[in-house]
Amino acid sequence: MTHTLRVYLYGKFRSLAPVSDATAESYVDLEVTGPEDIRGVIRRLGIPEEEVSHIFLNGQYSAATRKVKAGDRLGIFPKDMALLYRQYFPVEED
Amino acid sequence: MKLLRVCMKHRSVGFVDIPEKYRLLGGRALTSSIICDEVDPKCHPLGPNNKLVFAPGLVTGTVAPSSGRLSVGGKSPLTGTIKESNAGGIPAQMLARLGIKAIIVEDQPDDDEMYILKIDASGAELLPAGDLAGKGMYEFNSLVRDRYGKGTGIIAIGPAGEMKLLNAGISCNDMENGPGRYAGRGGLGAVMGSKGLKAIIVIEDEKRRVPIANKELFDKGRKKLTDALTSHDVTSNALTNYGTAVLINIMNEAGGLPTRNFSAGRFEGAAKISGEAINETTGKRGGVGKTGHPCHPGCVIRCSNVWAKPDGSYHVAPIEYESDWALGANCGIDDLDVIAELNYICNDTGLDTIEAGCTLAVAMEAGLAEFGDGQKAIELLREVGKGTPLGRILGNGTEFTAKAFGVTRCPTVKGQSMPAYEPRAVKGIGVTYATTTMGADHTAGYTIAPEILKVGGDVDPATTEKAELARAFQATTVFIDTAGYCLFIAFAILDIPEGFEGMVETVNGVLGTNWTTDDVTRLGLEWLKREREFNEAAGFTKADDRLPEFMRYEELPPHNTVWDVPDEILDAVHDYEVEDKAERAG
Ligand code: SF4
Repeated sequence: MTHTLRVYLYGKFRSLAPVSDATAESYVDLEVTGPEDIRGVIRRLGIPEEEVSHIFLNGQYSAATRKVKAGDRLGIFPKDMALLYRQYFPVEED
Repeated sequence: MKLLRVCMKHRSVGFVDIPEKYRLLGGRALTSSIICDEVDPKCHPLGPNNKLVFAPGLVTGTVAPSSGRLSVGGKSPLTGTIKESNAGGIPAQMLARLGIKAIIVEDQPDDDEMYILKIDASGAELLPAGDLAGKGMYEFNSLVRDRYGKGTGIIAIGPAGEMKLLNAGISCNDMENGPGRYAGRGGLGAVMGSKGLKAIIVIEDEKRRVPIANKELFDKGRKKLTDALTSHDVTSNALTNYGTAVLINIMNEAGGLPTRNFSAGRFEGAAKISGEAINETTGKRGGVGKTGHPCHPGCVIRCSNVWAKPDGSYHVAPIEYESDWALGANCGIDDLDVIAELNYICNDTGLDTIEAGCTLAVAMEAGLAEFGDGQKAIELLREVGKGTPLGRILGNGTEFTAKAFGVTRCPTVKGQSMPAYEPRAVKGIGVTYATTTMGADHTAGYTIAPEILKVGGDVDPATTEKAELARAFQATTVFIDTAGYCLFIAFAILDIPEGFEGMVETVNGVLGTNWTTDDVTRLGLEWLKREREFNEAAGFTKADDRLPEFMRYEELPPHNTVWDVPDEILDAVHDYEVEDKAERAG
């Protein structure tokens, strides 16, 4: 049983991962102990929420209020990498 | 402003005044209107009755930001539908400043000769292409520069167009004289080849200006639009810093990056071919490589790049998202230098990169190469320029190749391959692919997301607003293509109302019109309707507005979803009464 959540970091957020390489995958595994939402994870990583643009939870374009659980894949992009027509990506909420 | 008519049968050229009905049109609305008025929808696209129309946008050639687009229109030999494909580069602005609102190329020569249309301030003439015929685009552009001078505008076809292959595009040269700005989609290069026209060469030997009816209004609008573009995150940051390929990581994270011929939605090699990787490698290699580069003078977004070889010398420009994906992830290739070489071959031979990448992926599926085998992919693509039987199969695109080799996983709509967004993961874009007038196309504008419409024309009143937003988005796209702006301004103007107003004001400034933002939707829809009518007359029905069958039964990892949008919903997209019904219900 995995107890961790894997967070894929992009752009300038990569520096928070053990491997920070623009040509490779940069991620951190975070322990999930209790109920937590994406916002909590972002805070735990020390990222100011206003610097975040696109958030994907298990490949779904997501609001920061969604709950995470162990085994999830979370992807976080900084503001300077925002490039999606919001019309095509309705935000998933819980 | 004038129309230039070119008859390839009699090799005559003539300038005519703009008919009143075309006075307020430019770009896509103009190319499509001329095609609708003058071309029999049932004609053979490569026969004498098709026409090829080139038109700069309404504000192209002015100092309005990011507005140097050239629309090319005709009946597409790839899709059989009406087609508008547009490109950046330098020739559009030059044509507009020379006072040319459109060039209409008609009929075809009785012989097999290739010709060049030369345009300058004193007029236009057709010249035999001579030794320039048959040349690849890189050599062609450098020979033209040697003969006609630096800064000459070039609109041309490579060997693929001369061979009338269905995946032939039309090249516009960029600021470094590279051929990489393509009106690529839909095989319009083959139409140009069928008319015996190798190139249009534009020489601006006298500085003129595009007439502006209301300079004050134009300047006001230009400023508002520039402010929007330079303040919006997408148009001032992502596109400038990373180029469009920033989408590789984003779509991969979304599970919607088509991989190995649309058999998966995530590519394990995505990071290696991402916008971040392009940016980082370009910085490390130095030399002539650059990012944040404009494709024509006056673009403030600057999404383009120049990719350098490991030694810093020129390789190709630009590597943009769709090409990077098509020739990379979709072929299982994770090496940017291989992708750059494939892109170079496309630019040189005169092929659309999206269609070429999808074709290679189908060929790989057929066993002509292993997925991921870059060297074999390069060999296969080189066959096209050689004109071998295999090369001709591949040069005719994805669907043709799939038929030749019995491949059923063929990601096309109306004969044109899909771009870099998986419809099973991003359902809204699937609706767009299915219902545009152009075949599978991502630039045609958002239509209506499936969650908005319910089956049976039953509409939830709460969704009316969304449906209107969707319709407005699509109409706005057509308007942007007509004005001559780069489609990427849409990000900023859809979010920043002053930017939208600014765009409309620049157009009003040029034309002396009083269009409002509401008129943008009205006009956009009107123009779109004409395109649909052409397709209907060409024999297209709702049954053609469908995605390929395999997407209905093959689950796409990682979401493991199929394409399950009901046909009734696709049919409702162009049912313009839907909103009325919803309004009544509300
Ligand atoms: S945003 Fe990119 S494609 Fe559009 S005009 Fe500028 S450089 Fe060209």
